[in-house]
Amino acid sequence: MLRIGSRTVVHNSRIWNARFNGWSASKARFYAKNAALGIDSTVENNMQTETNRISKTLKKFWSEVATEETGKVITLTLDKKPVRTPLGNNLAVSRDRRLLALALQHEWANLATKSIKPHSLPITSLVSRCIDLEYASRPDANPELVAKIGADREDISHTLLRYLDTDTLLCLSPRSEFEGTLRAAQDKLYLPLISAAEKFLSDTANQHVSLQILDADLHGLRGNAQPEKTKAAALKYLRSLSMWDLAVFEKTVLSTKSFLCGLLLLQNKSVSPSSDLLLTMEKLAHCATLETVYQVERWGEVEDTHDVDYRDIRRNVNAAAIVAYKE
Amino acid sequence: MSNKQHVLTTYKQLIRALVKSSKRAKITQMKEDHKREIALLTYRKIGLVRQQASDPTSSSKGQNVHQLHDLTKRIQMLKSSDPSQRKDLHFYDNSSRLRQTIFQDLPSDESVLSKRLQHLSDLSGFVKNQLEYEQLVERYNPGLKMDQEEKVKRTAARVGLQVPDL
Amino acid sequence: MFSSLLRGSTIALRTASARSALRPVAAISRTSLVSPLRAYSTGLNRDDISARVIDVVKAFDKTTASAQVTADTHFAKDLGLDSLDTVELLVAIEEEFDVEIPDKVADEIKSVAEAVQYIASNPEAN
Repeated sequence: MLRIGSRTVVHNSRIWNARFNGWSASKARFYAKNAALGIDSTVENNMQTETNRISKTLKKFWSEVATEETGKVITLTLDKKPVRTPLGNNLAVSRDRRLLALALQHEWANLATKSIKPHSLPITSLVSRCIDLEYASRPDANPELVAKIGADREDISHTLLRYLDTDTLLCLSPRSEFEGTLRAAQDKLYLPLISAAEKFLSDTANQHVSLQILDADLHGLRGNAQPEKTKAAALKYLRSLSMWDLAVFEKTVLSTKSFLCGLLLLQNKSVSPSSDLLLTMEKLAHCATLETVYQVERWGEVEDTHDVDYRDIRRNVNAAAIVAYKE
Repeated sequence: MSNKQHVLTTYKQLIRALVKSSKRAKITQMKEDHKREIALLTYRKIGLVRQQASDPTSSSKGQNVHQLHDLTKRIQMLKSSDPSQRKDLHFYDNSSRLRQTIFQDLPSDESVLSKRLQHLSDLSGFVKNQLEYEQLVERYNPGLKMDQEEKVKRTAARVGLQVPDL
Repeated sequence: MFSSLLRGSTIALRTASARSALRPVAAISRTSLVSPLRAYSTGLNRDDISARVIDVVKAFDKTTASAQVTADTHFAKDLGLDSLDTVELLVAIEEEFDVEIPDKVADEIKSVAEAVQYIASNPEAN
């Protein structure tokens, strides 16, 4: 994953040695062994790529951002040189994602210069993850590398599956709260989506599966677990996704804390979405934060929290939707 | 709403979002450029003044005075100009490519068209919320926007010290 | 909400100035009361609006450089702008005056004069 600015900037002698020896990231990939304590020598953070450079120096170092079409792909370039992902792949998208290329260009062309924040490049960050996951899923990929960037398909799937147990869309509030208005809204918004998702998962698994809802009135405070059959169906669905889509799914689930939101988002951006799963991204974000809406209404908005979260989930959901879309 | 109307409305939202977000970045960039240029011109001016002081009888005196005047004027102009007042910032500078991307082979099929328009809305939703998010983060964390120099200055000021002007 | 408050204060000031006009010292107190009125009152000066709209139109790179832009300029007929260009131009005018023109209204704005008319009628414009 692209972790712009999330690590302390450390001086790494390997980079310098490498530079003096004429070492090139595109030819060699090195792996850290016996690294000194406190020095970040992980491969994904030290490969000489533009994305890593920006995460270390946090400075703008180019003057011209452009895109270049070659063959089937559109590559983002800085001063005519292709931008590379943390693993050293070109930051490029296929021609059927033209607007995504434009979005990438906009993102890099409109950075306020002085300092670049971890949150400044969300599209780049997600697209990089998509590209690197695709790269790491090739049969000849180095297993060490796969482990380092957390690219193992089964690991990702099982981590994400855990979100289905406590899915935001599957947790219903008690009717005693907010005079029952929150619960009424949940019933109205969630229940149709839940049954549509059940139908979708049943179709995927070729057998009927149901989603276990955690109803605060019936179950009180306890954990929730999906039936084995449902889990199997969900896993089967995840296995059917391309690596690219899996990365988008991961991003959506992590932002919304909801497996179903990931499924809804991808389905809406798929070639032929089924009509009962259709919804706008604004509505998706609204569903994922419904409880907060009612809390803010009653108790007031907490500055530096609710307002920031409101924007955060929307920028993330929309970013995931743009990356998922394909003509 | 007719299809054409829908397309125009969606396009307008996108342009609105893109203009707002690039305007902010461009103003910051231009202000920085100005600052750098002012520093450069001031440096040159100091050089000239020193030269003049060390050699007051120089034959090139008239020329120097002229140059000095010129530099002062340019510095003044840069200082008084406000990039945020520029009208061209109200336009999105990459619109011809955006249009080409969106409207080239605009699908006639209803559901494909609506998916493409939805995609455009997603993009404007992203651009808009990203901008709002960044502005909020900046507002709540003013330190983020400062450069190292500014941080050092303020840290010194906290204990009543002043960083010398260099 | 804030702007409606301001508008409220405008009215209050107006009555104050009207009353003071009746007094003998009117000549002095009037000027001091009238000038702050301008800043708050709904009206930006119409000529200023017109000049600013024209400047925005001129800054649009789709406007033919030779075209003379005046208060009477029509976007499509005189400048050859198509519907997408007009959308961009209207967004630019929105930005200039810090307002959002509702879609219904925007559809009817096809010339500099109509844009000026709308901005002049919008109390939020500044």
